[in-house]
Amino acid sequence: MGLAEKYGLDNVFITKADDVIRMAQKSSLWPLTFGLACCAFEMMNSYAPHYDLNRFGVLPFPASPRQADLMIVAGTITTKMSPAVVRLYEQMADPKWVIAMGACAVGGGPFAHSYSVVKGADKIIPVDIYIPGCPPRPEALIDAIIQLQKKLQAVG
Amino acid sequence: MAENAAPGSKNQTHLLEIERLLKGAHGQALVATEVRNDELFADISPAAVPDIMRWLRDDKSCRFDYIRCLCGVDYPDHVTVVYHLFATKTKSKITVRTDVSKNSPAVSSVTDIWAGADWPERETAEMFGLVFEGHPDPRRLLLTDDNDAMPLRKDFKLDYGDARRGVSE
Amino acid sequence: MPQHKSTPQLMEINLGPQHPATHGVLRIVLTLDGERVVKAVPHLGYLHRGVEKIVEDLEYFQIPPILDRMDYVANLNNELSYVMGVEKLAGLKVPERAEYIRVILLEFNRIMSHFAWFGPFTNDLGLFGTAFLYGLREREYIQRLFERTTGARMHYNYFTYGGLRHDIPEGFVEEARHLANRLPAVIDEFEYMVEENEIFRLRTIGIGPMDGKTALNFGASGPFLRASGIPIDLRKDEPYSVYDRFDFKVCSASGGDCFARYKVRMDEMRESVKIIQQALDQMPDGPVRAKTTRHLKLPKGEVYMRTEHARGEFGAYIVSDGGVRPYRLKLRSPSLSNLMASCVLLPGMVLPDLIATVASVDIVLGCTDR
Repeated sequence: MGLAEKYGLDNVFITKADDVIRMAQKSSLWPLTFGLACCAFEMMNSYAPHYDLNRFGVLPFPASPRQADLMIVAGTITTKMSPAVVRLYEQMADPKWVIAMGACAVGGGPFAHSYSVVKGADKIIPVDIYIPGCPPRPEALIDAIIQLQKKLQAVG
Repeated sequence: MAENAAPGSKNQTHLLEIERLLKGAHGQALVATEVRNDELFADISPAAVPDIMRWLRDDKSCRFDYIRCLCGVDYPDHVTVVYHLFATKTKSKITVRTDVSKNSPAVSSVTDIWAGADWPERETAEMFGLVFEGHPDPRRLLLTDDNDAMPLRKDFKLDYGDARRGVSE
Repeated sequence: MPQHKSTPQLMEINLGPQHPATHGVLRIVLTLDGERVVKAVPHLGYLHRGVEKIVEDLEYFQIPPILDRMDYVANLNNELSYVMGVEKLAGLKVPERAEYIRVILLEFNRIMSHFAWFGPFTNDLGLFGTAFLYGLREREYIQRLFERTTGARMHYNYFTYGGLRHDIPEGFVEEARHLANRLPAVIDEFEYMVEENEIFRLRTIGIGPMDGKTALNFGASGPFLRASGIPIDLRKDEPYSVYDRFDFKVCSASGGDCFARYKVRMDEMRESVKIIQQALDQMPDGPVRAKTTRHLKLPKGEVYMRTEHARGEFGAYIVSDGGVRPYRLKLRSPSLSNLMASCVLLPGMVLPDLIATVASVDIVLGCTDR
C-alpha cells in the first residue's frame, strides 16, 4: 500500500528530494553578468523586450559570482583574461553550470590562431552547453537555456 | 573625392610652405620629404625626433596640435615609427616616419609634446620591442607581463597547425 | 610611512575586469581614501585578440569580417575606414548608389551605437533597467532592418572595396524611411525620460568636466571632444563618401561634463536622421559594386584613411608591399584615445562619479584592445 492511499491523499506523488531541488534550480537560473566581447550584446538583447529571457525563469543577472549559478561565457577569452574567468568560475557556489556562447567560447572562433586567445572555454573550465554562431542569435541563447533546463531535469 | 585636391590648392601651397620651412630649420636631420595627396610626408632620423616634433607643434606656421595615430611597421633591418599629425586650425596633415635600427631600438618619447602618444607608444613598444626613452610609464599595455614575443615583428609567425594548408603565398 | 599615517584608510580595489559598470573587460585599479579616488590606474588588454597580426595573414577581401568584430557596437563604421583606404590605394571608384547606401547604413549604425550607449549609461547612473530596455528595444528594430539588408544581425561584412557585397533588398527604402520618420519621436521620448530627472541632472551636470585643449592634446575625438566645445567632425571637415551633399550640422556643447556628452549624442542622432532622410530621397539607381577582382593586389604604398566613427576618429593605416595581403594594417581606435583622456579626470573624484565618467566616454573594449 502506497503512502498516498495510507493517508487518504489522492493528489500526492512521491519523488526524490534531488528531483524537487533540480526543478527549483532549473526554473530560477541566475546567470553571472559577464560580457566578454561581441556576444555579450546578443546576450543583452536576449533580455531586451523582444526576446525576454525572464520568461524562462532566468532572473536578472547578479554582478557577483557568489550569487550566480550559471556562467554564460559570451565572447573571446584571451590569455590575459583567462585567470579571471577561472577565478570567477571557482567563486561561484555549487551546483553551477557553464554555457559557452559563440564561436570564440566554443573554440576560439575567428581568432583561434592568435597569439593571445584561448581556444575555447572548455580549455580552462568545464562547459555544459555549446552554442555555435558568431554571434548566436538571441533565440539560440534561449534554446541553450531550455536545453540546460532539460539537462538539469534529466540529471536529477 | 575631396581627398585629391588639385595641385596649387590652398592646402597644397601651405604644405609646400611647411616643407620649405622644415628643410630650412632641420635640413640635416631630414632624409626625404614629399607632398602627395594633400599630405606632407617627412622621413627623419630618429635622433632628431624630439626637436622636429616640438618644432612641428610650436612653430606658428605649423601648429600640429593633434596626434592622430602612432604606430610601428616592421622591416627586415629596422622598425619604422610612423606619426600621423594634424593641425586643427589649418586642417593640414603630416606623416612623419623615422627608421629605428633593431640593434639599438630606442627612440625619444613624444608624450611630453602630445599626451595622446602615451598609450600608443606603450603599445608600439611591446609589439615591436622598442624603447621610448623618457616615457613616464613604460609598462606593457595590452600583452601579459610574461609575454616577450614582440608579436607584430615579421619573424613572429602565428601557429596555424594544419588549418591553412594549401593557402597560396 | 609618513604619508600613510596622515591617510591611514587608503584601500586598493579592483574595478573589473568583470564589473557591470566597465562595459566589457576594462580593469581599473583604484586607490581609495574612503569614497574619494586617490589614484586610478587603468589596465587594458583583457580583450586583446591580436587583430593587427591576424589581418597580416589574410587577403584584402577577408579582412572586413575581422574588423566587424573589433568595435562590435558600430560594426559598419569600422569597415568603412578600411575599405576606403583600400579603394584609395587601388584607385577604385565606388558607384554612387553604393555611396548612398553606405551613408544610410552608417548613420543608422551610429544611432544604434548611441542607443546602445544610452542604456548602460543610465544604468550606471542608477536608472536601473528601464532606459536600458528602451534603448535595446529601439535598437532591435534597426537591427532587423540590417539583418534583412546584410544577412547578419551584428557582424555584417557588407562593405567591400569597390562598393557593397550585394544590393539592398526590396522594400528597404520604405522600411528605412518609416524607421527614420519614427526615430525623432523615440529620441524625444528618451530625453523626456531622463533630462528633467533630478537625480540624472545631479549625477551628470558638472561631473567629469574636460576642457577642449586637454582633450585635443590627448587625441580625443568624436562626441567626447565635441562635448568639450571643439566642433571637429570629419564628416564636415574632411568630407568623405558623399557627406558633402547633405545638410546637417555638427553638434557640440560646452562644459565637457557628462551631461554635455549625453546632449551631444542625443543631438547627433537627430542630425543622423536628417542625413538618412536626405540620402533616401537622393539615392540614385545603378550598380552597387565596381568591377574588382577577388584576389586584389594593391600597389606598393601606404595610406592613412580616417572616418568619423560613432565614437570618434577611426583610422586605418594600410601599408602595402604590392602583394595580396597587407604588409601592415594599423587600426586607430577612438575608444583608446578617449579612454586615455578621461583617465586623467579620475583622481580626486568620488567613486560614483568615476563610474558616471567612464560610462559617459562610451568605450568599447574590443576597439581599445583590438
